[in-house]
Amino acid sequence: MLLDIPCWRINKGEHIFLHGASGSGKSTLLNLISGVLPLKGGEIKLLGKPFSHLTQRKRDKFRATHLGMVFQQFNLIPYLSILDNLHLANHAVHSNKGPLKLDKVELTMERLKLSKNLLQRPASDLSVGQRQKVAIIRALINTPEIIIADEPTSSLDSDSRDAFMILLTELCLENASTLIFVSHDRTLMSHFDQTHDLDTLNQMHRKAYVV
Amino acid sequence: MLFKLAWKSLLSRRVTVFLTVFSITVSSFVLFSVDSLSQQAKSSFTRSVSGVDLILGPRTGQLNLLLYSVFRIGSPTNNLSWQSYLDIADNPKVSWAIPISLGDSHKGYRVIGTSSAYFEYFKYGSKQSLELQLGKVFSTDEQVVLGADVAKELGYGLNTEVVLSHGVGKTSFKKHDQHVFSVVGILAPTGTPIDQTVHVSLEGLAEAHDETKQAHDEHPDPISISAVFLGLTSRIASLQLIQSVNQYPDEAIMAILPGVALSELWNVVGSLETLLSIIGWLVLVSSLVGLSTMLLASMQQRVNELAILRAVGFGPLFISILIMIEATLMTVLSLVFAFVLLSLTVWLGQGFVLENYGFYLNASPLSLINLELVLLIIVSSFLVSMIPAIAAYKTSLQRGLS
Repeated sequence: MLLDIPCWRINKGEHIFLHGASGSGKSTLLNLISGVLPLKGGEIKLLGKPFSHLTQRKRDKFRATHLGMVFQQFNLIPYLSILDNLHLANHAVHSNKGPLKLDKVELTMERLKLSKNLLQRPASDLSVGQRQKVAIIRALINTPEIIIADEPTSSLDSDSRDAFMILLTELCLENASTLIFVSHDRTLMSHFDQTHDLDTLNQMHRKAYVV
Repeated sequence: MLFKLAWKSLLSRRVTVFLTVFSITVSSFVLFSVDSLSQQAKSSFTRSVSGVDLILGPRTGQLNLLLYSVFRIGSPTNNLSWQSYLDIADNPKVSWAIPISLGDSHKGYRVIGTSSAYFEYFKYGSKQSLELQLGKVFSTDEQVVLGADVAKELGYGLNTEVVLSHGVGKTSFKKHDQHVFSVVGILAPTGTPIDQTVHVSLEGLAEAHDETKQAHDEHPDPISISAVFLGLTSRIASLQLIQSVNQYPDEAIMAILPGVALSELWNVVGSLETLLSIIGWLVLVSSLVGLSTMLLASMQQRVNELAILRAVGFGPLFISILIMIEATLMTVLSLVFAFVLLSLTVWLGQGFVLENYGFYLNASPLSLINLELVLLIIVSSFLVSMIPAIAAYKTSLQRGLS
C-alpha cells in the first residue's frame, strides 16, 4: 500500500494547491483521481458520483468529459497539428458529432498570445512555453468541471511561469472549473485559496511509524 | 479521426514503416504474380485451341507436340509424311483435318504452311472461328495471310511483299528470297499465338524451300507436315482413332487429346506454381511477423503518445484498435504498391512473354487482382496485429499517465 488518505474533500470551484515531493505517491494519487488506474480499496467520488466504482470504460469516458489534464511535458501528440490535437480531445467526448468551437479556441489563443497560424503546425514545432499554453486550451476544450495540473510550470522559466499561473487560474475561474494543482514548488502557493500537503493527507507513513 | 491519427502516427515513424511496408510489398508481389500469371497462362493456353479433337504428329512427347503445334513453342523434331496425313484424313471418323508445317519464319514471326481448311475449321477461345479483318484467304502459292500482330508490328498492309527465312530465329542467314509472297489477307486479333503467325499454303512453303536447292536437286521435296489438327465426327471416336493411329504400320506417328496434353502441362507448371506460392506465403508470414514486431517494439518509444491519449480520455480499447488500424493501413499500402509493381512488370514484360511463350498477359489491374488473396492477406495481417494490439491493451490498463 502506498496511499492511505482517510478523507479528503474538495469543494466545487475551489483552486487547490497540493504539495507533494517526488516519491510521495503523487503520481499514484493522480492516476486514481483521473481514473486511469483502478482503485483497489476505498472510494473516490467525483462530482458527487462514486467514480472509483465505475467500470474502466466509464471512467475513461468520465475523464474525457469532466476532467482536463495538464502535465509538465508531453501534453500534445508531436506529429499532429495543434488543431488535430484539439480535435482529438473533442473527439474523445463527442466522437464525430461535436464540432470543435473554433472561434472560442481562437479567442483563447489570442489571450494567450498565440498566433492563429500555429493551429496548422505540428506540435513538435512549438516552443515549450507555447506547448504548455496549448495544453491549457486542450484541457479546457470540453469545458470540464475539474482541471488537474501536474507540475505544469516545471519546464518554464520564472517569468513565463507567473504569466502561465495567472492565465491558468483566470481561465479556470471563467469556466467555473475546480483546479487541483500539484507541485513541489511552494513559491506557487500564492496563486491559490487553499494548500494541502500530500504528506499530511497520507496517513501511510505515520501509521508505519506508530506501529 | 482514428484513421487520421493512425496515418499521421505511421508518417512520424516513416523509416521503420517504410521498411515493413517494403517487405510486405515484396511478398504480396510474389504471391500476386504467381497467382495471376499462372491464371493468365492457363486461360491463354486454353483459349489457344478449341474444337480440335485430336492432334496428329510424328511420334514424340505429347507435350512437345502440343507446344509446337498450338503454341509455337519449340520445334518439331520429326515430320509426318504426306501419305500418312492422307490416310488418317481419309478415315471415316475424321470430319476435317488441318495439316500444318512449321520451321520457317519471317522477321522472327513463325510461318506455318497450311491448307484453306485452317481458316474454315480452326477455332480458338470459346469455339470462335478465325476472321479476316482485311483481304481474303490465300488461294495461290504466292500469297500469305498475316496474324493481326504481325501486320501491326511490321506495318504491313495488303500486297506487301514477304520473304521467308529458314529457321525460327530473328536473324537467319538462309533466306528463301527467290520465292516472294505477297500479303492477301490480315486476320482479326484473337489473343492467341495466331496473331503472331504468318500463314502460307503448304505448296507455297514447299516451293520456297525448293527454289533454294534447285541447283542440286531436280526432284521437288515431298510436302512434309509437322502436325495435323483433326475434327472428328463424334467425340467417342477419339479413342478408337488414337488406337488406329498408334498401330499405323508405315510410320511412327501419334495422336493426342489436346485436353489431356494441356492437363499434363498444368501438372508441370503446377508444381512450379505451388513451389513459388509456398515461398510467397513464407515470405508473407515473415513480413507479417516483422510488422507485428515493429509495432511491439514501437510501444516503447510511444509511451508518451499513448499516455496522452489515455489522459485525454481514450480507453485501452481505442489504443488497441489504433494499433490494428495502423497494421491494416500498412498492409493495404503494401498491397497497393504490390499492384502497381505488378502492373508495371506485366506491362513491361508483355512483349517478351508474347514473343517467347506465345501468350498474352493482360496488364489491366482487374485481371491481376485476386480479391480472395487480397482478403486473405488483409485478414492475416489483422490477426497478426492482434498480438501488439493486445499487448498495448494490457500495458494501457497497467501503466499510469507519467
